[in-house]
Amino acid sequence: VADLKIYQQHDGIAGHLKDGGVAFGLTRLLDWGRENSLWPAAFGLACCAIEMMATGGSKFDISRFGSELFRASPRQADLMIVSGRVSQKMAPVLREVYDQMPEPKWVIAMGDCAACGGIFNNYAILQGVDRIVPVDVYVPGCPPRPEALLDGIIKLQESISQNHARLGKHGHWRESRTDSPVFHSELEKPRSDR
Amino acid sequence: MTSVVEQALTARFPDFALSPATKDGIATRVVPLELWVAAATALRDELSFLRFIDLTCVDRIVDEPDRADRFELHLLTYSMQHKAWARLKTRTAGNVASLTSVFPAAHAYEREVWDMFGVVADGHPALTRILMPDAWPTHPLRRDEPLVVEPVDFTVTRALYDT
Repeated sequence: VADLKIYQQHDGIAGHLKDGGVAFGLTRLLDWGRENSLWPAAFGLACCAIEMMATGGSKFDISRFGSELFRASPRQADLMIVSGRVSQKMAPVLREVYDQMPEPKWVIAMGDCAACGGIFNNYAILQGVDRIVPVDVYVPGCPPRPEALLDGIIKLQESISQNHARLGKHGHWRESRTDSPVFHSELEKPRSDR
Repeated sequence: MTSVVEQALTARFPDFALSPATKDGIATRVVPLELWVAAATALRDELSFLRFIDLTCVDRIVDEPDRADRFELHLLTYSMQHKAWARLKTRTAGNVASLTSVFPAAHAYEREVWDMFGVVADGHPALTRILMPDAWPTHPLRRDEPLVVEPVDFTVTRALYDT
């Protein structure tokens, strides 16, 4: 109880604690901690990664939002910023990196290529990273400016704080759009057969 | 003006067709498919084009839809001795003898040609996918493969594709 009072001094927690019990409050507390210390895994794949690096630099300063620590190891990260186009051959690697991240974890699809394939509507590029991992925030742009990525991170933080993040009521994780990579659809038939 | 290399090629391969003049000016001969390896060997041993530069493929099915041998293979070599380039071309319907016994460097190139065009290099020691994932079902650079993965519904694009 004494601890709770300390927590209540923080504005963001107090509001939630009014109508909740201890367990509810602790969940909020955890979310508050997660929200403000997202550790991104460095998954720079293309030109968007340059903007992502700029976001980490002093001018835009992602550390204002508690995320300055870009981890080279997925095991120490809980946010994957997929910045750039994902080739079909990189797709299983990306999924493996995602699987190695400890839960809870979030994914930002940065840029048009990560969101939907972008201009690379061809056999070599995965048409959207949401085909292999669940995406929380899509940041459009080619590439998006650092402000856009920061906006995406803030949106994700809001989502986490409102418990719209992927940890459901019973600890179920939202699944990705498809369980396994889908490379081919009906639409990929030769043009004459469509 | 006929270059020394052109003269040497003509002297060695009098029966082979001259390719239409290439824009890059490289001496080029069109080889029957069954003489593909023999011609490459002669190029290497007799004309001292020792250096393998490139092996690639063109799918001619759109230009010449009636021909069964739709794939045009290009072998590009360089001679340190002559300081000159030479190119061999051949046509195939889907199989070609592997050049790895002549030029070991052709190993990866023949894998790529098979991966992208489905032209099988007979006698290749390890003909596996090199660019696409191992389980990929198609050969994506064939001209009858769809150009895009997801449909594009803009009329301009449709008009271009349907013609």
